[in-house]
Amino acid sequence: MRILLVEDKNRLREAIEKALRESGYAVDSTDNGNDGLWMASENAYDVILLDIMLPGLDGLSVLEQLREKKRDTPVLLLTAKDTIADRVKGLRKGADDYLIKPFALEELLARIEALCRRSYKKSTSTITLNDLIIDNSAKTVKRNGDLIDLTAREYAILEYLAMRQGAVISRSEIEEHIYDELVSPMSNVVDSAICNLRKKLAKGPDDAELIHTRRGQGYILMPKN
Amino acid sequence: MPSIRKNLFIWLLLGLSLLWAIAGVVIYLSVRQGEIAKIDSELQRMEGALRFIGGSSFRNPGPQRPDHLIVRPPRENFQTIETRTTPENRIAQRWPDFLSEGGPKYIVWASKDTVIRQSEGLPTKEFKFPEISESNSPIFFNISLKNGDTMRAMASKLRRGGFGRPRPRGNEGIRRPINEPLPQNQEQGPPRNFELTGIIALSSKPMQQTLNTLLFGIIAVGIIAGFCSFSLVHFALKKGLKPLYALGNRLATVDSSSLSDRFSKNDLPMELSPICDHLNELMERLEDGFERERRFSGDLAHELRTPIAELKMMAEVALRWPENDVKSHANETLDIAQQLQEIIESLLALSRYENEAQNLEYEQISLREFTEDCWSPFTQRAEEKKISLTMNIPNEHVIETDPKILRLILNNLFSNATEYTPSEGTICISGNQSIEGQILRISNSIKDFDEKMLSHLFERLWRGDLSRTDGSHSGLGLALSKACSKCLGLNLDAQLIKSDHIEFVLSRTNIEKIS
Repeated sequence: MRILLVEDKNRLREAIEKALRESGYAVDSTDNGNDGLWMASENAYDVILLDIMLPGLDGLSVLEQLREKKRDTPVLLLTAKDTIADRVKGLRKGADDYLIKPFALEELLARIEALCRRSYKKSTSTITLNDLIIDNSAKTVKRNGDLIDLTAREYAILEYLAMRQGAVISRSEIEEHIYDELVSPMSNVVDSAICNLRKKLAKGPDDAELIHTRRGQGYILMPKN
Repeated sequence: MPSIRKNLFIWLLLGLSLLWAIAGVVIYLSVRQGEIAKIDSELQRMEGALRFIGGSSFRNPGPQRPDHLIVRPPRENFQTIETRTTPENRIAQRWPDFLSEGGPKYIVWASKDTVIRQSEGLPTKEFKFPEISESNSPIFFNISLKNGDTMRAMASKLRRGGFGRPRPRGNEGIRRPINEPLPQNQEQGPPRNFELTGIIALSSKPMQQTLNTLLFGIIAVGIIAGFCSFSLVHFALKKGLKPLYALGNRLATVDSSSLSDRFSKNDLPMELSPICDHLNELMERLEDGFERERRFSGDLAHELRTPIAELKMMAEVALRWPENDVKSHANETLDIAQQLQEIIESLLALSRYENEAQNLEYEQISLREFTEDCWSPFTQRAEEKKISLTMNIPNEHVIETDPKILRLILNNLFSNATEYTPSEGTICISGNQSIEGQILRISNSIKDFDEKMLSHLFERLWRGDLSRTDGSHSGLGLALSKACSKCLGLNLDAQLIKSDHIEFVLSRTNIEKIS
């Protein structure tokens, strides 16, 4: 999952950025509204974390312009403004959630997960595909009850494929959602990660293939018919 | 204090009742006067009858002279003694109501003690001889009888010329034989021009009955009018005060969320229009006040919550994903703590100075030396920004003030000046003794500043940078300077000069200036 963080307070932005990266998210960040609007317009993010009081262009204006451009990326407003009027105003401008500073890291991560689920129309934190269970909260994958050890990147790819199970996802889409602007993925990074995933998911000889390749189109996660 | 409605109700009702009462009294008195005038007129009309009666008492039943004494032949209509009309008949013909049962009572005096004619059964004690003035005009008065009746009476002098002898008639005179004695049966009449006094009185009973009926009518109409007035006043007040109640109800719905609403004058009467204007002005001031407080709350929340959020997030991340760079982490934590401490101390100082709860320690100070001392910490920063400083304060300018608080004011003003003056800008500090009340003027060049921002300059936590990104300022400095100035009895004002210079003027209201 790829997240855009727009926060002008350097220390807070860096701390959140680190926490998100450690939690397996790809994170892009900026400290002003103008850059935030440009990045949100140009890239495909799964969630945008947006401060309201920003230099250049304030958070609500960024949100408003984003919605005017028909970008429906879920937006979580992070702000010190705690009045009901402020919250209502933010939500009516098109925000999907509102978190008041100071907040707990766990709560922030939970809200981001919830927004991700909502954007992929999932109602629970676990995704089940035959005998495969992916727990978004615990960031764990089990097959036939056995825990599968995955790297953060492998987990992110599997989670993204699982979120959009049944749909063919191109390599570039995976790159867009899994890698942030700091990472410059080589052309075979995704293929390599998919290969490793297949191996790790096929724990036993009877385990069915879950990730299928559609030549010239991309990958699809679905049980074999 | 009683309500307007109650006051108006009482006064209008009392006023209307008084008017009704006055109208009733006026009507009653007018009618009474009319009735009396009518009786008086009747009495005057009957005065002739009285005169006739008075005169007839001296007249012989006649004819007392033998026919042979009358030279002229008797006229056809001449009345013989048999056919001559009696005085009663003549009165009855001329004043038909005179001799009726309810007719007037009369009494005629020849002199004060001599009653010559009076009505039958007339109590002479109640009809006393009247004293009539020389003008001889009749006088009117009321007589109360012992039986409880009242009468309206007229007293007058009755003059008779030539009593005793009949007036000669025709062209021929009466020839009396010389030395012929007067007829024996002819009574000696009173002398000519003899003056009688008479009273004629009519009963007041019919008039009293009329007046009683009228009084009853007036009271009845008064009671009905009273009820009508009550209803009318009640209805008029209800209708008249309706817009006032509507305005009151509208005012009662005003709360913090509806301060932007304004009262409409469309449905209001003219008298309430000025009140509406004042209320709208009040709403505007309230809206400004609430907006200022809301802004302050929001800014304060931001200033306090953001550093706490930073601390919390940094601590949680460090605990969950520990790093080796503990020193850097500790320094950042210290910075945040310092920032929070400054905000809290500024807020507490602001609260103290705004309440003017300070023990001031006045001293005489040389303004120039003191200002130079206050400026010295900012010299380096000004030089870095290549700011040119002009200080023009006379050496002999001495003031008496609390130097600790004045230093706080100048530190904030100089800090602002160095911070917001653009590179290669100018700062001018002057202390002009010639202008009454002025202590110090600090002006500096400035960019991107307008009149609207100037109006918020001394608000607590207000900052030109709405995003409040820079954590080194909190926006309390100028508010604190203003509060300190007030505490010292000074005024601190700011004005924009040519849109690229801002000038702060510190002027005194009660500070002692010693030159």
